[in-house]
Amino acid sequence: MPDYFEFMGFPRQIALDQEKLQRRYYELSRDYHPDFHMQGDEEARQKSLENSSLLNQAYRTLNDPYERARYLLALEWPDLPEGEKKKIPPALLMEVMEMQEKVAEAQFADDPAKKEEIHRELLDIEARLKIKTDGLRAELDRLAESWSALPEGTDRAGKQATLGALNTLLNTRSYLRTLLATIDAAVRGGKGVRH
Amino acid sequence: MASLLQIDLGPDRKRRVVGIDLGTTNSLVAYVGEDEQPAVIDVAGDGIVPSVVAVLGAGEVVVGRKAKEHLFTDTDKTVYSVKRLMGKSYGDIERDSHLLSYRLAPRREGLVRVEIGGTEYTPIELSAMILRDLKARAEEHFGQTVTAAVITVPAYFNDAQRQATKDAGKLAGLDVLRILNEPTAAALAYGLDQQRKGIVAVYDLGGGTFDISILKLELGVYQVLSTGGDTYLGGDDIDQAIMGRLRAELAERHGLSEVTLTELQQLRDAAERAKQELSSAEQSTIAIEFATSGISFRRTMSRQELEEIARPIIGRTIEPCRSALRDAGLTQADIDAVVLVGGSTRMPLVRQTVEEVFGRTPFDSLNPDEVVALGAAIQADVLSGNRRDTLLLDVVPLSLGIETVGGMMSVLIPRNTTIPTQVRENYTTFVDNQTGININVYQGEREFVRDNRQLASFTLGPLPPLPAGMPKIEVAFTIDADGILRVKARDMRTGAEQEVDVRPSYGLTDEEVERMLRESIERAQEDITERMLVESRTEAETLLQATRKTLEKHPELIAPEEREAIEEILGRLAESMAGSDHREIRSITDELDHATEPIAQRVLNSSVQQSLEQRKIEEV
Repeated sequence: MPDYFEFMGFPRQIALDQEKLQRRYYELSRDYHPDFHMQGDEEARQKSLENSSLLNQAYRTLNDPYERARYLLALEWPDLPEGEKKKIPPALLMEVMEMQEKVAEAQFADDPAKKEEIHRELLDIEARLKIKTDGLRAELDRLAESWSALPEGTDRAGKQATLGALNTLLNTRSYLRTLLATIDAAVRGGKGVRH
Repeated sequence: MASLLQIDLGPDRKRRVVGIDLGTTNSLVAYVGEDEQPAVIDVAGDGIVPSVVAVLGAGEVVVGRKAKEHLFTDTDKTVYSVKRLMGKSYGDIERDSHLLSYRLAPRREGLVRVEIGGTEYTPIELSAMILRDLKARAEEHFGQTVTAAVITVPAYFNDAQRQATKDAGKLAGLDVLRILNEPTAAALAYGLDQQRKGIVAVYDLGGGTFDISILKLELGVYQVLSTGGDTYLGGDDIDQAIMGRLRAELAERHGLSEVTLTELQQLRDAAERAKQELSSAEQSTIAIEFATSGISFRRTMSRQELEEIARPIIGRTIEPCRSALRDAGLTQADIDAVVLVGGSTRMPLVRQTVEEVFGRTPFDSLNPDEVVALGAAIQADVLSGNRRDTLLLDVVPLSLGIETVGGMMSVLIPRNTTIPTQVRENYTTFVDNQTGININVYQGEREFVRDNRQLASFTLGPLPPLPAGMPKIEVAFTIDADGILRVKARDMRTGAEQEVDVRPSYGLTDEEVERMLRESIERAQEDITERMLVESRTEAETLLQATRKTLEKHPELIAPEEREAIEEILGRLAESMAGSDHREIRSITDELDHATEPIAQRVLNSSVQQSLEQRKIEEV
């Protein structure tokens, strides 16, 4: 796996200066973009295509705070067990169950008044989940801070607490998004699961 | 791939690279001169070349204003709006093919063709005729050969349409350095002119296509954030709606329900004129004299009536604008400027719609007809290595994905991803000794592949016989800076490059383009019919033999009624081969090819005993 942080010349941090990242992206694009290598031979053009593609992906990943955190986690914890990645965060268990019940109820409700009532309840849950989702950002910032406070050369054990919390946060966010998409599908006929 | 027409200019002569706006209604060619400013190349003050081609027989091709004159005298030999047909199948354009005043070749699988004087032409060949004319214009202007160009396309053009445009350029003897998105080109010209920073929306409503692109402009950087559109929506649709109304009245008032191609063309011309006049006038008079029936048709049209007709059509541009905003993660308030491009944006109703959607008065001091060509010229200058102050970061307009279990679309590259971009996927076999892995590539936003456009289909292999799951093939899907897909595969066990034969589902293979190129050069000297006959017979013979062999070898895979149907086609094919109609041979060959497709699939499947469904190696 290529290291996007290294490729773009940034330290491996959860938080980074997005304006600086964009400037760097434009600078590197001027070096790598195929537009500036049209006069080169086939090999040079191929190299430019590969570098430019890599740069575009690196920027896309690092420019989004959650994508960046997920990517950092994959770099730092490559052997993270598959099960750990998909574990339902305990704090969300109640919500998941309540919501699933309501969605099923909504599906089988024949009475329009009853259906509307369930929809209203789902919208309430949706509002709560949205607040939770928004709250994740503060938690991410907190983790970014403790991550950057780790001294140079900290071993795996020393990083474990932060990485574990990061994994839980990312899982929570994935679940919240899935829940919100399910509600959207049930209430508004949206597309369902989204990534 | 080098074009045969490419001429080596030698090292001391600067290569001229031009920018071409190949439009539905009009085309232009522009360049950047010594003063570093882009300019449209004109002949006697006229830089606009109507995208009209008249093929008058004996290889006499007329393009532009002169061709427009033939619209009424040689209606069935004069083609307009060919861009609407680029990369399209018959199914795509079914609903208004009856409104065309030229003829399409008989319906078949694959791409639409136009029939002129008994000869079939692909939209690519017809577009190449326009490009050749623009090339000649530029050569006359410079007094030297022009061999390279940047050609613009609607941002929402799919892979097949882009490839078709590139092929047309090749056919016209041009090395197409870049396929550039029209709204992006417009933004380049706007940015150079205005020297502004901020978020810009480009609303481009032309004769045949609609694009909306949202860009971030910053110190010479043009970063496209999102794009959307409809490649079958434009001024032509408004003309056709007016024509529909006029035709109904003709039938009602004069009992004229069947019209000739020339009369259809007269109606189209009258509709277009009225529409254009009503951009500045409140009232327009439509007057048509039909020579054959002696009918004299007159009526007035108010702007209000036009707007009534046009509103549903223009309304279709609103949703793409909203979703482009959503995709960019922006709201109306974030937009700093709206730039109008395309002749149809002269309509007051269009301006009003744009104002409503974006909440601001659009910027319109650039000439909407020229701005795309000027932007293409700037990009041509960049690609020539003359200019490093401009950086263009464009996106792919449609998601790219592959077919997975149950006909679902699995997206590999989401829409609005900055290009070039590359995704690597790992594939392995599902059963022991499997010799190939089938991959079908699609473009579009729908959940099931059947609702999206198939781009290509290819088989990885032949693979050496190994236990299931052992082979590891890495496939790299790359979308290059032209927005065109390239596929490369590597055998991860041996490191060897794996041959991938990507067969475009809608479009021409490199061989076909080469062939067309050769033909266009040789047409004058050689008896083309004779050669086509030989070629079609050879092709028919090959397929005929292969089919017979399969019928013999795999009787268990073929249902009795299927066998009967194939035998019947085989009989007809053999009969046609004895004759001398190459078109008949070709069309029966195509029919046979189509009919035997499912069998070929079954044979392939049976040879590995089970389905060929590949299993992706989970990436960890």
